[in-house]
Amino acid sequence: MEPRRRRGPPPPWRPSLGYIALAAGIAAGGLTYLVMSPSSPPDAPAVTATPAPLPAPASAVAPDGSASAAASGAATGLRVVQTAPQERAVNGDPTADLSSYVNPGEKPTMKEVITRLHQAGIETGLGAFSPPGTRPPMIGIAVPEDFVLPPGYVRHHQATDDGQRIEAILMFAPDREFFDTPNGPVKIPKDRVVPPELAPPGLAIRRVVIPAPIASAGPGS
Amino acid sequence: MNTRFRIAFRMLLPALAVLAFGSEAAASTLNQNVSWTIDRAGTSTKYRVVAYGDSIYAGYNGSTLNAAKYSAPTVDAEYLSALWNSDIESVRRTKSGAVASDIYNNKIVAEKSYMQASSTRAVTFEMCGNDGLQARTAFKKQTGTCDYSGMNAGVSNCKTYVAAAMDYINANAYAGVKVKIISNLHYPGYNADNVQSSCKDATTGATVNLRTTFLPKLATMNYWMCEYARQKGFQCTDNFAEYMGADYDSNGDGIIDTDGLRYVSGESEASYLNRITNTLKGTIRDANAHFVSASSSYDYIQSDDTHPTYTGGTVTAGLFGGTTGSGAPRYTSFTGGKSPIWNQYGHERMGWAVSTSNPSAP
Repeated sequence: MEPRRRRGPPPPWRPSLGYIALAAGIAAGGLTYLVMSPSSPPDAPAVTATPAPLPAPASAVAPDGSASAAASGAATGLRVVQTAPQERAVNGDPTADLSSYVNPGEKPTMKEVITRLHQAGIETGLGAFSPPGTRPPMIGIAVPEDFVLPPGYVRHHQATDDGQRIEAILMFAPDREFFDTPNGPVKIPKDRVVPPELAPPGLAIRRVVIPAPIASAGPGS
Repeated sequence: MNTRFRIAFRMLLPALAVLAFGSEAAASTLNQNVSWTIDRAGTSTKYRVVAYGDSIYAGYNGSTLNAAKYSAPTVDAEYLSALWNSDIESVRRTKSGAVASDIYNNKIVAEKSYMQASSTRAVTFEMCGNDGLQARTAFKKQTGTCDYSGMNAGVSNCKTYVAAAMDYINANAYAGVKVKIISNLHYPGYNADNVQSSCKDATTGATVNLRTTFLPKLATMNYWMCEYARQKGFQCTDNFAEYMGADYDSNGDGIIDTDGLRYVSGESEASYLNRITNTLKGTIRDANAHFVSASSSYDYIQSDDTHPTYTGGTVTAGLFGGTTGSGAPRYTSFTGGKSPIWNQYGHERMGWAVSTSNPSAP
């Protein structure tokens, strides 16, 4: 008998409230244990959120570390062996980050990550970013690069988040007033995108189309 | 341990880790490291450019898995490749979401070996953007009487770690490094911030305009990045001017807006702040419409209203690790020192601006 397969897209990445509640309980228990533990020295300093310590005075360190090493050697009497600096591999960064908290096989989108951080009350780091799509590209009349613009109009160029150029749209220049001779001032849309009825003569009316995301590299993938 | 319990335990671990150890700073950042070599035809000589920073230099693009191949440091590497007729290895050690102290401690210090390699000729870094974003987010949520201490702490931390980073790079980078560069900050969400706060100022009893409140703080950070650069032998790429000012004279003062906004070497903090927040404030525009002329504008900002636009594809950088790779340059020569797209995307603009500090020889 074959295992039953799930149909449709995988469910969105989201935390299990049950697990979070359980984790909160365990965490609270752990903290209680740490606080109440008799092995803790009574005068242990409280943990406070302070900036990471700054380095020793820079003048004591030579570019290859030789000055500090030599100084150390002179003080201890040990022979200093010079070695080439060891570079971390491109993935060899040991500092914890989001990848430390995502289960194997999961590929949360950045929008999901930001949402989850906010749900957890975290608004620092990635949690301080606005999610993709906060200010989506504007849709307007396409204006070819060889079309001669009358004064007061602007050719505005945009790009998708995966780096594709969007065909330029027609906009009104900022900080300008426009007049229709018999009717007085023309009301300009707040976003300055030119509507078809206010397009200059000779421009074919055609709205731009946002390119489809590149499948292999689409943001949020 | 039976399978069911093991699976449940594994699913539980992330929540446990976050809740029990309070590592929210770690959980809300993402390492995005890339090493990309501009492989120029006809040469095998290779030099290195090392870039440390946050999501800006990372080429963050709203993905957890990849980033822009040509973020600003790699754009700069392409300029260097042509200038020095060499292959250029663009090493980007970056962590998206990281505040200045995190970049200093876990990138610049912990990964100093990258700038110590004898092939290194340029070191650049950027930081402080997340200190500002976090302070802004917190301030926006305030009700009651406005508390400005979070923003002031962000500025203070920025100054502290920028100065420390320069000192550390000066002391630890390979002795043959020819140029050291810091990139300062554009103002993401300049238009969106033109709203009133929920909190009320203690003195006036009225709400405050968010943009008017944040701009001087950002300008203070930017001033000190450039001023410390002057004092400590760095070059300063003034991204605020490059992004927020037009490339023509929009106010008729005889100065191209970008030039007018740019930090002037040796000027006082008061002079710079007065220029940015008062005299030339009218020439500052959201970088989502950067005017290269009176009739042509480019959106330098992605749909998250924060990060720079780019072109040239993406590389793996994120949850599944980073990329080491190489490829031919997109452009092999630069008329007037500018690529054909130097002002059309945020990262192209920043990379070009960084390149203006490049020495003529390695």
